[in-house]
Amino acid sequence: MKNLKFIQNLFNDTPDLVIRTLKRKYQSIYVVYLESVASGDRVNSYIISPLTLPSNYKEKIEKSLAGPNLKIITIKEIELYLCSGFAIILDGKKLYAIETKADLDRGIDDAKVEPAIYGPKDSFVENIQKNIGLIKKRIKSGHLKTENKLLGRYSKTVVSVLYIDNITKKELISEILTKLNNIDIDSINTSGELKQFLSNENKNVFPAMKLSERPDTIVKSLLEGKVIILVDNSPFAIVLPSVLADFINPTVDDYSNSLNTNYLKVLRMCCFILTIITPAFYIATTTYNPEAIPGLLLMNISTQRFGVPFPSIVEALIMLFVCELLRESDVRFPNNYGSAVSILGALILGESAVASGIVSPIMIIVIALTFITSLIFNEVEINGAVRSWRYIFLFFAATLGLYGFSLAIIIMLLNLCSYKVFKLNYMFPISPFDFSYLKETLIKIKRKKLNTRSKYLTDNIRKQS
Amino acid sequence: MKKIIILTIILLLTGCYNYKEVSDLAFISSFSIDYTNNNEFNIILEIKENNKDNLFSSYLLEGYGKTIEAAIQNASLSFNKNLYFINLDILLISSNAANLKLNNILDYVTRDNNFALDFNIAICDDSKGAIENILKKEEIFGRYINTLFKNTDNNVINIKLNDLLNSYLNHYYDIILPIINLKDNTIIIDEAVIFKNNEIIEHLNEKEISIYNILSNNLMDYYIHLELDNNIVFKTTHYNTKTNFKNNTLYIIPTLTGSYIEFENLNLNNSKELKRITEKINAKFNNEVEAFIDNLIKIESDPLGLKRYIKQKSLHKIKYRISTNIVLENKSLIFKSIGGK
Repeated sequence: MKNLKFIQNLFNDTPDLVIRTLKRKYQSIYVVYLESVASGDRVNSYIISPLTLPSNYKEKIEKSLAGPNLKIITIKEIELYLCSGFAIILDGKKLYAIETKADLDRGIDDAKVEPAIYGPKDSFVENIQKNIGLIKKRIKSGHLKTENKLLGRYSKTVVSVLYIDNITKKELISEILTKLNNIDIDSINTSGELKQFLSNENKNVFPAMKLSERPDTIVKSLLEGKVIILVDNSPFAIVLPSVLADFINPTVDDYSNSLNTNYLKVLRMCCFILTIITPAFYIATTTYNPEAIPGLLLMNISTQRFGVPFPSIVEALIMLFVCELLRESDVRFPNNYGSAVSILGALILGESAVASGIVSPIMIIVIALTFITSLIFNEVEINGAVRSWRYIFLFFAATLGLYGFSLAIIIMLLNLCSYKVFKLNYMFPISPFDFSYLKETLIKIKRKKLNTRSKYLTDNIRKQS
Repeated sequence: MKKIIILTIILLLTGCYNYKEVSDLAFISSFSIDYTNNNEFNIILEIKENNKDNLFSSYLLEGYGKTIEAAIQNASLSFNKNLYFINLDILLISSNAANLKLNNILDYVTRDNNFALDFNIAICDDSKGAIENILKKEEIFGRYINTLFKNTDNNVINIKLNDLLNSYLNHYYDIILPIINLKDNTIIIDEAVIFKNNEIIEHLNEKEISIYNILSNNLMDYYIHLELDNNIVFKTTHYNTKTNFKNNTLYIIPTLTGSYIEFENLNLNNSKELKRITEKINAKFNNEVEAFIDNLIKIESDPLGLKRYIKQKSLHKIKYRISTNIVLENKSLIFKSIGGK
C-alpha cells in the first residue's frame, strides 16, 4: 500500500494513470500503467490474462509471467519505467516492471534528406531500438559496442554511443563519454540539441559533426573509426568527428562509377567555393577592379546597370535578403503552398525587379548562381556557415575590392585550418594530408584499392589484404 | 566582439577610397593624339555609349592643352563620367606628334595605370575624319579597326603597346608602326612607317610589309601571294624564318609552306616543271628580301633587330645571305587539280 500511495502522490492529476487490482491467494496485487504510453492490449495479454488463470493462482509472479520482458525494480525507478511505457506490478513490497510499450513511432521509411538513386532506401526513425537494429543488421559483429546513457533530468532520453571497439580510438570514445556525462539539462529531445552540447558551437560557424539519417552512411563511418551517437526520438544519428570533406562528399557517391563520381566531386567543390565568393567577386571586380573583367563583358555589365538607382553592394544585399526570405518561407510554409511561393518569388526576382529598375539582370544571374550552387549541399548547417562567410567576403570586397577579397580568403583559410573537432583538423584530409581518407571523400578510386583506413582515425588501418 | 568592431571600423575607414560604379565609367574605344603648330596637343576621345538602346554607337570628345593630361582635362570638362582607358582599342598618333612627341606619348600611357598594355597603335594624320567616317556607318571606330587588325586576310603590321615598348626600349631595334589612311571615304591600312631616332624616315608598301612580317615571324596567318609572269600564284599557309650569325655572315632562312592556287600553262603532273617553277619562286622571293634588307641598310634603320646578331651599332658592314626554302604542301590536291592541264 505504501508503494501504491507513493505512485498516486507522484502521478497526482495524471488522468491517464490506470490502477488495476487483482485478487491473489493471500493478498491483492496492483497493476499500474500509463495508458498514454503503454498498450492496454499488451497489459491484458501479457499480465492480466496470465495472472487471472486459475492454474497460476498460487504461482509466483516471476513464474506466471515467464514470457514478457520482466524486471524487478526499486521504488526510485518507478517513475522512469512508468513513463517509458512499462506496467508496474505491486506485489507487497516487491515491484515488477513489464514492458508493455504502445507503438507510438512510425515504420521505417525512405530517406528524405539524403536520398540516393541506387543506395538503400531505408532511414532512421524515432525509435532508438529500431535504429540500432538497422545498424546491427549491417554489422554482424560482437565488436560493435553500444553504451547507453540517460540524459535530461525530466526527459530521461536514451542516448546510445556506438563504436567498433577494435577500430575506434579509445581516447576518442572516452572523450565523448566524458562530454556526455557532463551534460546536465532538463531535457534532450533530438540529436540536433545534443550536438550543441558536444561541440564548441560559438567558436566557428562550420558544423563540427554531421547528422545522417542513412544507416549505410553510419555503418561506413563506424568502419572508418568514427563514433556514432543515437538519440531516442530522433531520426538522425550524430557522426563524430566530422570534417569539411564529409559534408561536401555524401556516401551515396560509393554507388556509382568512379570516373563519373569524380566529376561530381569536383563540381561540388567548385560549388562550395562559388557559393561563397560569387557575389563578393562580382562586387570587387565591378566596383574596384574593373580591369580584371574582359572589355566586352564590362561594357555589357555597365549597360545593364544603366538606370539602377542603388550601388552594386546595396543591390546585392537586397537580392540576397529576398532570396533568403524566399528559401525560408519555402522551408517553413506547408508544402501545399510551396509552389505559390516559388511562382511569386520567380516573378519578383525574374521579371518585375528588373523591369522596375531595382536590380540589374546581371545581379540576378550572380545571386541565382550563388543560390543554385548552395543547393547542392543537403546539410542545413553547412549552408548556414556558407551564408555567414558569404557576408564576410561581401563586406571585405565592398570595402577593399580584390585586395579585401584576397584578405577574406586568407582569413577563411586560417579559420578552417585552425579549427579542430575532437583533435582532428577540420581541413583533414588535405591538412594534415592523408591519402587513405582522401580516397574516401574528396576523390574516388577503384573499390579494390580502398584497402586502408586513415591513421588519424584508427590504429587498425588494414581493411583488406 | 571588440575585435570585430575594431576590424569593421578599420575596414570602413581605410576602404572605399577608389570605389566607382561600373555604370559611371566612360569606356574609351579610341584615343587620338595630334601635335599642332601652336605647340599644343589636340586629343580626340571616342567614347562608347553604355545605353541599352545604342549599343553600337559612340561619341567624340575633343580637347586642346599644352600637355596630354591638360588636353584630356579640357576635353572632359563638361563630361559627367570617369574616363576609363583600360579597354582602349586603339591609340592613333599623327605623324607630327610621332616625330616630335613620341617619347612623351609613350611615357604618358605607360606611366598612367589607367591604361592597359594591349591596345593597338597606329599612325593616322586625319584621325577625326577616319573616326567620323566609321561613326557614320553606326560602328565603333576602335572596335572596327581592331577587327581589321585581327583579320588574317589583311596584310598589316599588328603592333600593340607592349610590342612597341619592347622595340622602343631595346637599342638593337627601331620602331615600325602601321598607317591608317582614309582613301575615297574608306579606311585602309596598307602602309607602315619606320622610325630612326624617334623620327619617321621611311614608308613601307604592302609588299614590304609582308616581307617584314615573314622575316620577323609575326604570328599572323594571312596568305602571301607570290606571282610569276605566267600568272602562277603561290599561296602560303604558314612560314618560319630562322636567323643565325656564323663566320661574320648573317644567314636568313625563311621557310614558306604553301601551294599553287592559280596558274596558266602549267602541268602539275610534271615534277620537273614543278621543281623549275618552285626554284623560280624561290629566287624571286630571295631577290625581294635582298632588296628589302639592302634598303634597310641604306637608310640605317633596323626594325628587324638584325643588329642584335652582329653586335654592332651600324648595319653598314653587315654581310648576309638569304636562303629561301619553299615547301609545297598538300601534294595530293595539287596533282589532282582539274586546272593542271
